[in-house]
Amino acid sequence: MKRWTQHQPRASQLLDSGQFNSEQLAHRASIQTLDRTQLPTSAITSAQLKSSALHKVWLFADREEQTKFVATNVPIDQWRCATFINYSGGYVTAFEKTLTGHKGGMTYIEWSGLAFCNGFAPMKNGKLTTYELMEKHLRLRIVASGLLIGEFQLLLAGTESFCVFASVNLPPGDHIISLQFDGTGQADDEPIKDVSTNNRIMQYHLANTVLLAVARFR
Amino acid sequence: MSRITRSRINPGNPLEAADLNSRYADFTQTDLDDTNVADHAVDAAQLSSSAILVNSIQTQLGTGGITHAAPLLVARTTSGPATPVPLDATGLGASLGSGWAINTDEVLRVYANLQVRGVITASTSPHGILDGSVTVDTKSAGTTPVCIGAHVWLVQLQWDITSTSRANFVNVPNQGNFQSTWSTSGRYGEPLSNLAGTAAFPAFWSGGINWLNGTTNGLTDTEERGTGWRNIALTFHFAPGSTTTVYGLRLVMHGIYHPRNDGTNNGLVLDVGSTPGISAQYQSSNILALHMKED
Repeated sequence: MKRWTQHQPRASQLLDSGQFNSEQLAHRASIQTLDRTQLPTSAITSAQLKSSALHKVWLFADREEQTKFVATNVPIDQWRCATFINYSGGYVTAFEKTLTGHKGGMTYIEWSGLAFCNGFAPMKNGKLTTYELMEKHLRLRIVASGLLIGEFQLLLAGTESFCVFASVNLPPGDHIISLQFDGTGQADDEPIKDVSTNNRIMQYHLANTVLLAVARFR
Repeated sequence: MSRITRSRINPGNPLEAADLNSRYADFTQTDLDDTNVADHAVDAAQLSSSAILVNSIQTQLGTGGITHAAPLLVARTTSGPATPVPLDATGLGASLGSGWAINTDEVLRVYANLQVRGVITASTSPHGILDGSVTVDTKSAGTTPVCIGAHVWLVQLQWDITSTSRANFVNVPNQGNFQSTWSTSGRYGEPLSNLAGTAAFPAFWSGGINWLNGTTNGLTDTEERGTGWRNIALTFHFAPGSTTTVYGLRLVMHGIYHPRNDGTNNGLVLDVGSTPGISAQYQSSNILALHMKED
């Protein structure tokens, strides 16, 4: 709260210019920067808010489909997607979006979509009667302007929808948000093609993806 | 905006009543406005509760149980198109009261979770009958067909934008209803670009046993089994081009579908193979809807 802060005039006091100047100088700055305690109740309403004053939502609802490592020599009843002929594992960026006009603050970032991972699951007989599942994963991670903010391992066997999210405190400025995936590379005894047609077997795919980001500005 | 611009009193200036009164009057600010308010001065404390979040609901659908003791069943369709089965007893889904008017500067976010599992009970193996069969090398036994296990059940969000009676549920924008044949497939289906508000879960698990170092020995048995209970997440985000009033939300399930490509695009099509014993079960579900300002 702004108050008479420099000198309190007293009865019978001689008027001094320096006393007045100091008070005036203090107010020249502070009168322009009133804080919330100086405002009457309901003085500021949401109707006065300018766009993006407090928060902003970015919605990229384009339901984007993965285009990297897409093989075409797949059977008609499989997707054109990443197979082991053109992708052997490792993190790659599938999608990138830019959050423009970010004023800085805590940001919730959410990717959702449809994922496919290794429908056919061979099991090794390494322990005779105890079958050992050939372990495969599709991992997803969210990178915000180069900063890894969330990593997820999907429990996939076949086609399943996903919704992964993370929060991060971002500085003001435009931010590039990346969704990266990592599929386990092929095992040495894993079928990777149809031996009768020589077509490759679909391994990984991402589709129907939507990015939502909600920032609460500081 | 109001500000004090009068210069300071300098040595030698006469101290007169008029000047002094003017200086005191400076502190009686009459035209303060929001430009005078400091950064950070305005925050949630000054705003109504709807400044960011306008409406929200959370409603239970499905059975409400969590023990899987009495799951509900959705039957597979083998001659299309599949009939969407509402996942609540009345088919009325979740009510949004007198309706949420989603304006052009607002966003509707819907999240649903559902406990599901794919069931396969028949002894007939689906490979060679259903889509997605490939022939793999078994070395000593030659070759054998296996199923790549990509079949899915679909859960779709529908809304009623007609009235509070919730008697007119339709598919949400950019969401296909799988009631027409897709592209050159001749099957009931939709392209992957047309699946807004649609979640999927596997119809069954497909595997092969005794793949002992495939270079010297091979597959001796193929297996297809139910997928076990799991929780799936459905999301839907909607930023309208014009004000849209939503009165109700519900979930429907249908299947089973399989990946397909038409040489250019990828899609999901209904599998009409005759393998019996494939169904889906579901249990409890929650649907959460948020109506919020876009900025």
